[in-house]
Parts: sequence; C-alpha cells; structure tokens
Amino acid sequence: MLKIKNLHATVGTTEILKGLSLEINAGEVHAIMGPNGAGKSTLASTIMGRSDYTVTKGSITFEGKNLLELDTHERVGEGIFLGFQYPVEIPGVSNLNFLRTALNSTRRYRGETDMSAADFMKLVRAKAAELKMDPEMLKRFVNVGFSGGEKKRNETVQMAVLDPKLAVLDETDSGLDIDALRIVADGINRQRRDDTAILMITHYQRLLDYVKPDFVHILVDGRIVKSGTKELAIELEEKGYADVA
Amino acid sequence: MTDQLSSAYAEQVDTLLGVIPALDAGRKQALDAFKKIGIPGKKAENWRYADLANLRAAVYPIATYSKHTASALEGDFAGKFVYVNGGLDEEQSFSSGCMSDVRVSHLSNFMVSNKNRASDLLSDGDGILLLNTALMREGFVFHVPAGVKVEKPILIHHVVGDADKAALHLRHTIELGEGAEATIIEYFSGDDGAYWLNNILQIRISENAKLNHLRLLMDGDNATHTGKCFIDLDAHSRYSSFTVSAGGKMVRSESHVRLLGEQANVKLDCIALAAPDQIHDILTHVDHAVPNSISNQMFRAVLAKKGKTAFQGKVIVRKDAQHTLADQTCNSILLDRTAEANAKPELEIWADDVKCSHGATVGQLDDKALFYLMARGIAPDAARAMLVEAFVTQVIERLESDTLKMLVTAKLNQWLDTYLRGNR
Amino acid sequence: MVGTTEAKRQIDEVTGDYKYGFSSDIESEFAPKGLSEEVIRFISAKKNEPEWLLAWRLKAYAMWQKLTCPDWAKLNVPAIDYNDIYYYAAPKSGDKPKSLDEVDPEILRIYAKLGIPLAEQEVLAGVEGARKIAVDAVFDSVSVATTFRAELKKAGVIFMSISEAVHEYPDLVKKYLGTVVPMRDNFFATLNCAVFTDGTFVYIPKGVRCPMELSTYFRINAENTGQFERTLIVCDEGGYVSYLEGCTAPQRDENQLHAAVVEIIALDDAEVKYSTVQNWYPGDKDGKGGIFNFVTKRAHCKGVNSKVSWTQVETGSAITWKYPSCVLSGDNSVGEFYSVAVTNNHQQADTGTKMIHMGKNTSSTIISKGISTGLSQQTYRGLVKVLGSADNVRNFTQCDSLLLSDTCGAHTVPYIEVKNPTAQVEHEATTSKISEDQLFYCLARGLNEEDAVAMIVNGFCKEVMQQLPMEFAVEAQKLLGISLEGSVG
Repeated sequence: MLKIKNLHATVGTTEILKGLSLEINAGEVHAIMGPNGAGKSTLASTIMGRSDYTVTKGSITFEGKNLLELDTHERVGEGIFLGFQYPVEIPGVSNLNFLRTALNSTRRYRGETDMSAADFMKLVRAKAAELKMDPEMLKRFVNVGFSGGEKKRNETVQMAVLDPKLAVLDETDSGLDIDALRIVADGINRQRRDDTAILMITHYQRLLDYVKPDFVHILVDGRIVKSGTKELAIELEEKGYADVA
Repeated sequence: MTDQLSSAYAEQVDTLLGVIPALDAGRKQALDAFKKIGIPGKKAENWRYADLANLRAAVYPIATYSKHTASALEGDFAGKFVYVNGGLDEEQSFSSGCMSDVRVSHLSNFMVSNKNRASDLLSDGDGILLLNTALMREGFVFHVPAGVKVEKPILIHHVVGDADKAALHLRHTIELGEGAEATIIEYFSGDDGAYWLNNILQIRISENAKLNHLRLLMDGDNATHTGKCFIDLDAHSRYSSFTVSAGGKMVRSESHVRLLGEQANVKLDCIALAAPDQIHDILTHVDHAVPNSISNQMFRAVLAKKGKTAFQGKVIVRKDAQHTLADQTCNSILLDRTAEANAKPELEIWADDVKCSHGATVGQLDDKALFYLMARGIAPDAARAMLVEAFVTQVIERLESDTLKMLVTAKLNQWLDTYLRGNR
Repeated sequence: MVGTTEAKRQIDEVTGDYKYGFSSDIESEFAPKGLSEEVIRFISAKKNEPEWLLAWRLKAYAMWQKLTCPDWAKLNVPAIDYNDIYYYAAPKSGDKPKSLDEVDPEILRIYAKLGIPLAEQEVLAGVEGARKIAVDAVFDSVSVATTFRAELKKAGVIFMSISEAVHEYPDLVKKYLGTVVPMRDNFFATLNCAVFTDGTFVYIPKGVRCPMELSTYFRINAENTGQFERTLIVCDEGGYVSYLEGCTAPQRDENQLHAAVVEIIALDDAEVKYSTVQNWYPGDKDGKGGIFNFVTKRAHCKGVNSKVSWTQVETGSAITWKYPSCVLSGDNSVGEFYSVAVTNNHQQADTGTKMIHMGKNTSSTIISKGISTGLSQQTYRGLVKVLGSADNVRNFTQCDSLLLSDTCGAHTVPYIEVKNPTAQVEHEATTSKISEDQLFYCLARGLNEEDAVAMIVNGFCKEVMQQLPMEFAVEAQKLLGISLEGSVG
C-alpha cells in the first residue's frame, strides 16, 4: 500500500530524513520508534505533505500513485489519515461542522455525493458512542477546552468517521493516562482490517501492549536502522536506543 | 477647489430653500461653515486612512427620486420602509400591528408640524456633516413612546439606483422614550453607479430604554458611503449596535456615543469584509461622561486582495466618570499580500478609578489550523473559508437575537462564496 | 552627578585618591541672543569647524526658517520665542545661590536621598563658583581621560565629543551624520542641525564588544550642554555597545529648550543598547519653570541581524516630546523600546516609539509603562508600521498606564498599519489605578502608604527596569519613589 524509497527530507536548511525506506501492506500494523530528533514527526508531516518540509530525494507511493505530486487534502482523499501529536484548537468551528465538511470533501474527491445530514449524524453518533465520547462534545468547538486525553479521543473519533485506508498516528499516546490510552487503543484496534493499514509513531512501547504491531522499526538519525517484530520493542525498552540500534 | 464646490453646492441649497421651511436657516448657516473648511483632506487627523478625493474633485448633484424594486431581505419584520434614492416608496413599505404605537414620520412632514425640533438636528461638524445639514432632503423620524416594546425588528432599506455621480443626503432621527425597546435594521444596497450616500442618524435613548441596531452596509461596488450615527444614552439605557461593512468602494462609518447617565451600557460590534479595492474606515467615539457606565467594542476585519480597512476607536473617560469599564478589541486578518489593515484604538483617560483596556492584533489565518483542516481532506480554499467564518462568527455570536444572527450569517456566507469559495 | 559605583571602583584601583584637577576659568564668551546666520558662523568658528560642517549648518538654518513649529493635539506648549534664546554659552547670571545653604532644601533632601556627595550637589544646584571640577573632583578629567581612553583605544573604540570627532575622524562623521535623522525630518531636528553645540560620537569597530558601558558622564568637555546635543553612534559589523545617557539627580539648566538629536546605526550582526534616565528640572509645584525636552532619537537597524534597544526612564522636564524609533531595514533585525514615564504636578509628556518594519523576519517589542499623578498629562503615542516588503514580522506591544490621582490624565494613541499578511502584530493596553487590595495588603504588612505605592509602582515597571544596566536600575528605582512623592491620595 505505502512504499517509501530512500526518502530525504529537510526542514529549512537542515536535513532530517536521510534515506528512509519503508513498505507497508494492507492488513499490517507497523510501529516506528526512535529517540527525540530522529525524524518521527518529520516522517508523518512529509507523508501528509506539510509545506514546511521539503523532500529532496526519494519517493513515496500510495497504492501505486506518486504521493509527492498530490496536495495535502488530496492525499486525504486517497485514503490517508494523520493523527496529530498536538491537535490544534479551532475556536468558532464546531466538531460536527468540521467532521461533516471533512467527510464530504473526501467523498467529493472520490466522485461520490455528499452524505445526507441524517446519515451523517447517525454515523457520528455511533462512532462517538463506540469510543465513549459524550455526544455533547460534538457540538463544541474543535478541541477548545479539551484535555489532552479528550483531544486524542477526538482524533480517534475523526479517524473512525473518515475510515482511512492508511492511518498514520503521530505519538498518539503521548500525555495519556491509562484510561485514555485504553480508549485510544480501542479506537485504533477497531480500524484494523484486511484492507487497512496502520502506522504508529511512538516513543514508548506502552501503546504497543494494547495495539500489537506486526512490525516494529527503529528510526535513528533520519533512517530506519533496524526492523523486527514486537520483541524488538521490548528489547528497546529494556536496553535503550544506543544498545539496540 | 473648495470655492468651486461651495458655489455649486450653494446653488443646490437655493433649490432646496422653501421645501422644508424650518430647515432653511440651518441650511444657509451650514453652507457658510462649509465654505470655510470644505471636504476633509488626508491631513486631517481622523482622515488618515480614507481619502475623499472624489468628493473634493467634483460636485455631486442631488439624486432624483426613482422607481426601483430592491432585492428584499428575508425576515419577519414589524415594519419595512423602503427608500429609493432617498424617497419613501410606499408600495414596497408596510407597517404592521406590532408597530402601531410607534410614531413614524418623515423629515419633510415632521418639520412642518414640529418646527422647533429643527434645532435638534446637529449642524456642527466636519464638511460631510455640514453638507448634509445644508442639503438634507428626507429621512425617517421614529419615536417609540415610553414603555412601548416592539418585539420584531423594523427594517429600513435604502436602495440607490441610477444615481451615478449623484448624491443623497439623508437625515434621520430615532427616539426611544423611557423604558421603550426596539430593534432597527438599516440595510443599504445600490447598483454599480458611483453614487455618494451621505447618511446621518441621530438617536436618543431615554432612561431604561433599549435599542438594538443592525446596520448592513452593502452598497454598490462603486459607491462612496459616508455614515455618521450620533447616539445619546441616558441612565440605565442600552445601545447594542452591529455593523456589517461589506459593500461600496469607500465606506466611512462613524459612531459617536455619549453615555450621559449612570449605568448606561453600549456595545459596538463590527465586521468589515474588505473585497478587492474597497476601503472600510470605521470610526467610533465613545464618551464616558458620568460614573458607572460600560462600553464594549469588538471589531474584526477580513481583508481580501487589495482590501483596506481602518479601525479608529476612541474612548474618552472624563474626570467624573469613575468606575467606568471600557474595553475594545480589534482583530484583522489579511488574506493577501496586497491588503492593508490599520488600527488605532485610542484611550483618553481623565478619571483614575476605572478599568480601561484595548487589544489589537493583525495577522493571517493560523497555519497550524489550516493544515489541520487540509489534513482532514478539506481543500485549501474551503479550509480558509472555514477559518474566516470561525473568526467572524465569534463576533456574530454576540448578537442576542437569532433573527439578526441569521441575517448577518447569510450576508457573511454570500461574501465568502464570492471571494473565498470562488463561487461567483 | 551620580557616578557608577563600578566605575568608581575601577578608577580607585588605577588612580588611587581622586586628584582635584583644575578647570579653566572659562571666558564668558557668548553669542548674542537670537538666531541668525552670524550666530551660526560664530558657533562654527568657536569650534573651529571645517567648511563642510559650516555649510551643513547654514543649509539647515535656511530650511528651518521656512518651517513652522508643530502643533500637537495633547500638549499645551507655550509659544517659544526663538529669538529669546542664547544658542551658545549663556552668560552667567547673577542670581545663583552662593552656597548650598541658599539652595531650596527640597532639592537638598532629594540629593541626600539619592546619595550624592556634597561637592556634586553644589554643581547640580548651580551654586555660584562651584567648580565643574566637582565633577572632575570625582573623576579627575585628565586621569579619567587617560584611563578610559587608554582602555578604549586598546579595543579600538572611538568615544569622544562630536566636536573632537569632527576634527579627528571627519570621514566617519561625514559618512553617517544626518543619515538616520535627515535634516528635514522635523522642526526641532532641523534647528538642531543648525545650532548643535556638542554631543557624543561613538564608533565601534568590526567585531568589537565595547569593554565598558559608555556614559555621557565620562565625556570630556562636559560643558553644561543639554541644550542642543547631537549624538552619533555607529556600531560596525559584529560590534556591541551599551550607552548610558543622563543621570538621576534633578538638573537645573539655564536653557529652557532642549532639542537633541540622537542617531544610531547598527550594521550586520551589531547590537546597540541605549539607556536614558532623564530627570531634567520639571518645574515647580505650580508648573513654573521647567525644561522643554523635544528630542529626536532614531536608530537604523541597517545590517542583517542587527539590534537596537531603547530603554528610558523619564521623570523630568516640564514638557517631554520624544519618540525613540527604529527603522528595521536589515533582515532579521530587532528593535526594542522599554519605557517608564512618570509625570507629576503640571508635567506633560507625549512619548512613545515608531517601529518601521521594512526587512524580512524583523521583530519589535514595545513595553511602555506610564505613571501619572498630580495634575499631569501623559500620552503614549506609537506607530508600528509593516511595509509590503516586510515578510514574517513579529511585533508585541504592551502599554499600561497607572493613574495615581483623579486630576491627571493618561492617554494612549497607537497606530498599527500593516501591509503584509504574514505579519503578526499584537497590541494590548490597560489603564487603571492601584488596586485597593494590593495597597491594603502592603499596609497590612507594615509598609506606610508612600512605601507601598513605591513598591507597587516598581513592580508595575519591573519589566522595563530590568532592561537598564544595573547601576542605573538601582538609581532609577529610587528616582521613581521620589518622583511620586506627595502623589498618593
């Protein structure tokens, strides 16, 4: 599904990704771990096409399409979702309005018609309930006054509604207590299917206890230096990056 | 140039003498005063941002009354008064039962039976006001008697058509008796002629009375709109004003508020949507003359390509006006490199036991918020429109009436469709 | 004048006891009253100036004659008769106090509070015959000259009066004089160009960090020339200098009109810190006398990454009109303005700053704290202007006013003009009085009202005071307290 080949990316004049390669197939759950500054967030941002990052070499293809040629919102239309590490607040825009606009934008990109208001409400309420989100929160402005955990749950509800083919989750577990972590993990697990893929970018192995990855990669200094299975994550936790990488 | 203008306008005044006899003396005096100072130039202090070069360069004949059907504003109104080129169009106007206690009149009629009230009309001010005094032809005169509460809004629609390079000088008054309540909507629209609408409204709100005032300035693309509102508030009264400035080529809108009684409360909100080549110069002047009064202002501007806005908000707190609470917020968002936003929130404080503050920000749409929206599949234009909508909605939320909220939101959406969503 | 304790210590180490040098009996040569071409030639000749400078002065004079004195909305300025002023060395008048005993005890009390030695007090109070030596008494002019000049010479720093600089470094002066504040800038700047008597010239060579804080106090030729000072500071690439102007003790001056011009140029990677503590005689309780301080101060952040900070504590003068400004044309340049202005009795101050953003990624910070009491008037007038070419500008402005009486006025007039959408400009202003709660809390902890107010006011001004070089900061704090005396209630 996702093929990243020898990716080099810079922010400003600094090169962060220095030849990263990765392949993710449908039905797989991957985890990328790495020390601070290794390039984890840069990878997520580059996959989504954030303008402050420049790809200088290499390629990213998604289901055969060259992702680098597409704008951010187009990549979403193709089926990629980014769960933010720090979801931003947008005063004045309600969660409902936001979600409906996002969903319909993606549908239009794919040549489908807008979802009816009634169907949309049914869908959102159902997903919110599954993830134990108080429906009242849907009426509030996007992330305004939400706690860290509530923001992350909001991200998972959005993911559930938009149902992406590939979900890239950037440090989704940071700042969560056990209860919030369980809810978020539940949301991620619900997204696991034969036709979807998940890429979790995480600092700690804790999340991986709840969402068991098929593959674990270690990202150090802009490249993937080692790949393995879940055991690798445990080894990492025990020994630290210096020893394992 | 002032001489040429003065003599031309003197001729116009001559044609108006005798039309409303009570005003004749005032007209002549105003014209004499105008001869000395003329139309304000860019060097005059509060005219730094708006250049009335077109008004200085040519004489504007008085627009003739004509027949137009204006595109209507949807809503459930207590009454509707449509003025076309300054003349009341009876056919398009109506007044329902809920307005039965309101005394509605028009300048020309009113001055016949109330000659002594002519001195209530302001005659001292800048060149714009002086010309208005000299050349005013018509306007509405509303009096809401004490205790009368009009539930539904009263709509006054000013339509201008076939008045290219002509001027309309209108003078209106609204009076609310003690404890009275009303909501007035002033809606300005016009064709694409380069007309000049010179509109002055004097409002007096007596003790315990409340007035909600919505102004939709949506003049034609080439119009010059100079508007002044003078509002006097007595004790315990309230004035809530909301202005949407989204039309015309050059809009200069002034609100002069005097808080003359304790516990008076004024709210002045404004959204300016500056489209290509438009200038919106919004000026407010709030005078806290007595203790314990409150003023609150919120101004937000969105500027598209080559748009220009200025917010000049002056708050004076006089020596005896202790325990005044005055606050102003002014935020501008530039959507294009060629736009220009200006702000001058001014405080003149002479009393010490007060709390006065103002804040101003100028910037652009939040990058992170934009990316967040795009990262959820929303295309860039739609994402920008969403954020602009959110920015402006925070001011619209301050309106108490849902009817008014809907009206304003509809106008906002029209603007967004045209300039941001590319649906023109 | 209040010397810096650090400097005193340095001198002690080098020179041992102070030597009481001897100052000349200055022949009381003076130009006749009034302004004319003759007077200008007289001034120029007295200073033995080169032809080009005389021509410059005359050009300014010709220009000035065509200008009219500006009229400000909020200042009440009595008409100034320009022909009733001495433009060079006023003659000694006969009514000077013969000794400190004859000096207004109020003033003596202030000197004592500020910790000023008696000899200095004599000079400051204008006691007849008090040798300017007293200034030299603390710092022997010859030895100071030797010590400091030697150190500065080692570093390559040029620091001397502008009259000297005109002779020793004419090319440097010519290159930069009038480039930041052009001759035609405003009425008082033009006047200054024609009749400036002296001032400071500083040049910091490439890569040099000036080894000590430069102060006008050390300037040799310290004639009482507050009148038409002209200062020029040029900081070359990579240089750094911190310059202090003024002093905390109240100074009387014969001359009522002060119209100084300060120009600063900062080239690539250069940084200049300019601090002022101004306490010119503010006039008596009835507003009589008092100095008019109309100053034009501007910095050109010409170089990439250049930075200029203006810090001022203004407590004196009957009327103050000054807007230290920064033109930020170099990319990434930074302009800062920190100000505390205190007005009491009948003082009037109209002060603020202009930050003009032209280059990319420039930023400016403005923190202005105004305290008014008595019957005084204070206005903050600022301009933040972002031109179309200035991408990514960041500005933050905070102006707060504290009113300590119900007969004074505090006004804020900010102009924000932005022509570039990538700019982020933020402005906040508040006006209020000291909260009863805060005051009561202090009283309940044993402070008397005067001390309580002083403490709260210092807290209010902290952000600005922190920007001052340490010695100045301590003195300035004392000064705040004194300026507010009698203001409570």
